[in-house]
Amino acid sequence: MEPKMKMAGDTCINLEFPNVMSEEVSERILSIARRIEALHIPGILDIVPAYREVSFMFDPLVIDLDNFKEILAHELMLKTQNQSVRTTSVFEIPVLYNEKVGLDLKEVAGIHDLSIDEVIDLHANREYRIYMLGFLPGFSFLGGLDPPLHTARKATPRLEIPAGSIAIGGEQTGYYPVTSPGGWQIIGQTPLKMFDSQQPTVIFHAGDAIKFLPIDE
Amino acid sequence: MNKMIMVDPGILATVPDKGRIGHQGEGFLNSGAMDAYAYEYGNALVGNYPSENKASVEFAITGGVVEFTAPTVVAITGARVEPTLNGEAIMQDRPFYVQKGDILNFRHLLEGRFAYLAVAGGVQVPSILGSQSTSISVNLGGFHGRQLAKGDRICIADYQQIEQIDSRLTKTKIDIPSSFLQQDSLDVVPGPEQEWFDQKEWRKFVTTPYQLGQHINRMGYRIAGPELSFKSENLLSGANLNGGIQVSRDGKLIILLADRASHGGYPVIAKVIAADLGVLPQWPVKKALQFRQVSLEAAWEQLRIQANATDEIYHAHLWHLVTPSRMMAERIRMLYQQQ
Repeated sequence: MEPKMKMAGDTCINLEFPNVMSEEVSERILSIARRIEALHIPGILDIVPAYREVSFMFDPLVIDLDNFKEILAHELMLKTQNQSVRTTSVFEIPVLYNEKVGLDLKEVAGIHDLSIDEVIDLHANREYRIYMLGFLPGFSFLGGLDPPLHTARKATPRLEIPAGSIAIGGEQTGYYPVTSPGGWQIIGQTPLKMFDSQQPTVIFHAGDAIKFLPIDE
Repeated sequence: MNKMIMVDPGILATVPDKGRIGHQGEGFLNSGAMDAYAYEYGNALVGNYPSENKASVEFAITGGVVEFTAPTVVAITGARVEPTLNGEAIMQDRPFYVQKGDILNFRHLLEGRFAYLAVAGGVQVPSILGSQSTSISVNLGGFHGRQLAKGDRICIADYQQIEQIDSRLTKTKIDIPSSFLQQDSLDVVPGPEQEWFDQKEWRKFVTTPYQLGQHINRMGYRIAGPELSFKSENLLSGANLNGGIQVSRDGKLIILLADRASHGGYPVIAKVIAADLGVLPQWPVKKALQFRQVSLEAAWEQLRIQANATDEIYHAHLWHLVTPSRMMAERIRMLYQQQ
């Protein structure tokens, strides 16, 4: 599947693949992002890879946009056979799954006609690939959520979701590293501190995996 | 060290620069000044060049009262205020010279929501990942990662001398080309998910007047008005744009701003153009908000106009700020000359 170049407003251009989660597309996106970054093109302010697109933020008063589009087109033509080999890790995260901290746990079970225990069984103890970091520092976007658990985001996002909340949004799952607004369905909470502003380092990387382990209070 | 004392920081004062740009892919918020243009030309007024990315103080909802402990040059831009220096009325959008013990009062905002206090040499706070901006929601950057409190002493640049001509300073004529006060509409360009909405919905969006909704803050502004519907598909999360107009499943609009999360999954029908990113945050409650589609070229031209204006303002500044290192360089030069 070939991506298309698309303007995303007046200060960003996206390389967009179809709206479907795919490990192959994800690897390709990460690879393109890394290679374009290495070119240090004047006027490119940030390169932000996501599930199915990579966004190139630019300064319109500095960049030569036509030239950049040519560079992108050229990159796409290159065969991506040389995937860089990186060691990847699996991180285990303890999660308390109950109705008190899982604000939407009952609703999610109801939507799919499952018991709460069945929801927990389908969510915990499996490896989820980290497709990308983002949303907030410390947040990982995970893929591989079992289809029976795919649940649409809330119609009206919450103004405040507690830090450590484990949640489902569409076919994605993840956790909120700090208290924030959000539209995902909350099914549990982890006692771990996923982001420390005193030490703003990044531990997980795209390509690593996360596993949720159920715990008791 | 020269300090600015927050005698009264008002409701929400923080330290921004133009933002922590370049790390959105690791989840770091851009943050930065809500009214980037006011912040930029404020810096230019006090002799800070745009590429220096000097930090200022942003006062939201109310202005503040500030005391100085040593001489420097400051300017107030953005929201309209009635500033006084030691009780005497002065003008905003102008640089003025302050001395030790001077008290600057601009507590009351007449119009707009965000005012900027620019200071020569900038506010001195640690730089994290290349920026001094504050991201309050994650306690990162700026002044100890938080909003300013009464009594806070903020470090600013230390100037031994300001060689300036007092009378010329206050009479400097500076043209600020466009002000948020004069706009009745917000210029937008199509967003990456414009095709998720059919023609009828787009027409509704650009013809019906909206207005500010109930919840507005540095992360984004909820907008009240006709709901928009779009195709029933879940969007995989992607990078959030500053000024991105996203529509949630209930059809309601939210415009994402400086402190927005780095990624999101609601479709973005349009984006406020970069040049107007300062206009929306200052928009009055209850004033009709019309979205007007413009071309990319028109959007870029407006940015060019603002950059040129800021440049002109910078080049009009009439004083030399002598730093301790320059004085030392001068002394060394004189030593060499004596030989």
